[in-house]
Amino acid sequence: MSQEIKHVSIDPITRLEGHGRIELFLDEHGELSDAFFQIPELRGFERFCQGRNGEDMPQITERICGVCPEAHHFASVKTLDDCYGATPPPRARKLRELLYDAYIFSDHLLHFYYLGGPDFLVGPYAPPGERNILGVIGKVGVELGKEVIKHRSYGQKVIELVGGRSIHPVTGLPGGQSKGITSDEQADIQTMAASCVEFAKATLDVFEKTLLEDETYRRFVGDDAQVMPTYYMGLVGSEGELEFYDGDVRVVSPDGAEYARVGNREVLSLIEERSEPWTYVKIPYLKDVGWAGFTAGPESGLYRVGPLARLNVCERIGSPAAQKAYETYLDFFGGGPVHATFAYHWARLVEMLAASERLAALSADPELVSGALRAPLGAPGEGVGVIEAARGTLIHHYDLDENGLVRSLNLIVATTHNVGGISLSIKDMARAVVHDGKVDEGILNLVEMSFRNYDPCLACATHALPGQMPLIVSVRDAQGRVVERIER
Amino acid sequence: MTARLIVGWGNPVVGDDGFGWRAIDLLEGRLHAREDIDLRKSSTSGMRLVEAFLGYDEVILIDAAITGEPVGTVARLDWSSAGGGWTDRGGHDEPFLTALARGRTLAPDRFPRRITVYRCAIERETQWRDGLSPAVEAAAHESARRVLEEIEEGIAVG
Repeated sequence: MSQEIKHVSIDPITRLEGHGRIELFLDEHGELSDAFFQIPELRGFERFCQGRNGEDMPQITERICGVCPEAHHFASVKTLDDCYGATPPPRARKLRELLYDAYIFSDHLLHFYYLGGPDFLVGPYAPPGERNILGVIGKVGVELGKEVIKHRSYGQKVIELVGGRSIHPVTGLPGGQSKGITSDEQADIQTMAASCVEFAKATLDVFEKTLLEDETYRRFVGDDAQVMPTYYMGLVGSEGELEFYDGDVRVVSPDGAEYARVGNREVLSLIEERSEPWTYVKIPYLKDVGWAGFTAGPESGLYRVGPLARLNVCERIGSPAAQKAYETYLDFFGGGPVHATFAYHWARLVEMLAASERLAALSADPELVSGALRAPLGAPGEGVGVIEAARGTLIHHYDLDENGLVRSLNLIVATTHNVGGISLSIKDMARAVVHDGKVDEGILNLVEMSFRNYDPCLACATHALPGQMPLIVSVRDAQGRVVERIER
Repeated sequence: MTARLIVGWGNPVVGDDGFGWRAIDLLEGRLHAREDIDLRKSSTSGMRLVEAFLGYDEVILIDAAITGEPVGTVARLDWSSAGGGWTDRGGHDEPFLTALARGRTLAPDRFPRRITVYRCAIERETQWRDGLSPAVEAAAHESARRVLEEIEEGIAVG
């Protein structure tokens, strides 16, 4: 590596209350040398949880991140089911799935309209002041903008009715749920769910009519630099259908062949975690494939999770409209697995439709309002729970002592699974757009777009002054001196 | 429609970031019988938080922030017209001030006409931990007292 390497730091990536850094290293010619994605975590979570009551974990773990409390709540509850050897009664399981489908629908909706969609619906080179939800509404119309707000509120309402609170659910318990819903509430949910299906269809229609006709998006999706043949991991149902709440963990190789299909308890046997000196996050990879560095391909154990991965590991969707959308998606790419990183956005919308259809189907189930809510518990022990957060596979693993207190705890969150893929995507994008040491607003957004595909969760809950979390780009010389600084 | 929402914003397992939650604990004993006031604790942010404001006349947000002031310093801010300035997006949510501007634009008929912030200065937390430092615990009591005074004096309800 040259003595004249420059160091470009994009810090923090988001203006969320979490911190992340993108580190870009330039050589003496101003070309990209290397790129890393860093997540400086709050430390000591495992130690913090040791000795606490296992039954408190659904409330504690959902505080890890303010973005996906529902995923942590139910990953934790599923882990406790396993720790206590309890199988929730059908009513409880259906209530959990009902809430979970509302969460997936609602989270994907927010990502498309507020975060991912503006880059394409408004355009990646549009001024930043227009590249947002208001710019999107300018393109798609005010009426659709109102529908966005309305259907986000429907998702939150279902979560509140089933989960007890709209933001942080409290109803999941080992072996079941603490409360059910009434017939009137079920009727309300049915009405909202039917509307969510129509809204999801309308959103896919917007996508197919605008983005698929858009040269920029088609170029990004087809860009070799953003096509990354990795392994993929996600849950599937008993018939290979798309799953969010429960099922087997399936891993496929870059050619689409099944690499592994295991139960929740066995998933940890597939994974090894690697430490790197530049990040506290342990980078997981497939143990039997091996670590080959930050590279894709069948010889590299790096794998990806999230919407793109889930559509690659499933064999069917399991609901009619989303199945049709899935087939359109696969036809566009000439079949699966789809390796185009920018297809994450499209896959997210197929999933949003699938979640809404499941929500609608489940909301009509008479068992939601009758039957037992909780199964008896056995003696506490070790347990593993796997669930699909909106942004990918989430694994909780607890060992409880004879009094139900936490002896040890380990969590592997979606963004941790994806750290390798994110770093590769950033590197590929930066290599394509950073030349002669030039890093401007437009180039920064292109780098951020590669990051934004993954909807990453930075798993950090410290606050700065709300809203005042600038994006800072520092260009440093070989001595570490800042020679250029961009702030917005 | 309920007139007021009081939100404690923060994280109760990240030390002093639990300031807002503690203030809500203190208020619950005094306000639980008030049907015109909803109390809520939230660790979520951006648009996810602002959506919770919709449908209320007024919102009081109680939050901890790294401001550079001495730890425990409480400031009362009127954010009724705050927002904007941050036009871009993050990984999976918008910053809070941007989200405020979005909410005001997208749902003008349901957006609160007044937003008041009680902000406590803290230092950056680096580890998971329970409980508040003595200065921030005192600030939680001070904020709860001032919020109650506002409600009793009708300042927040205009």
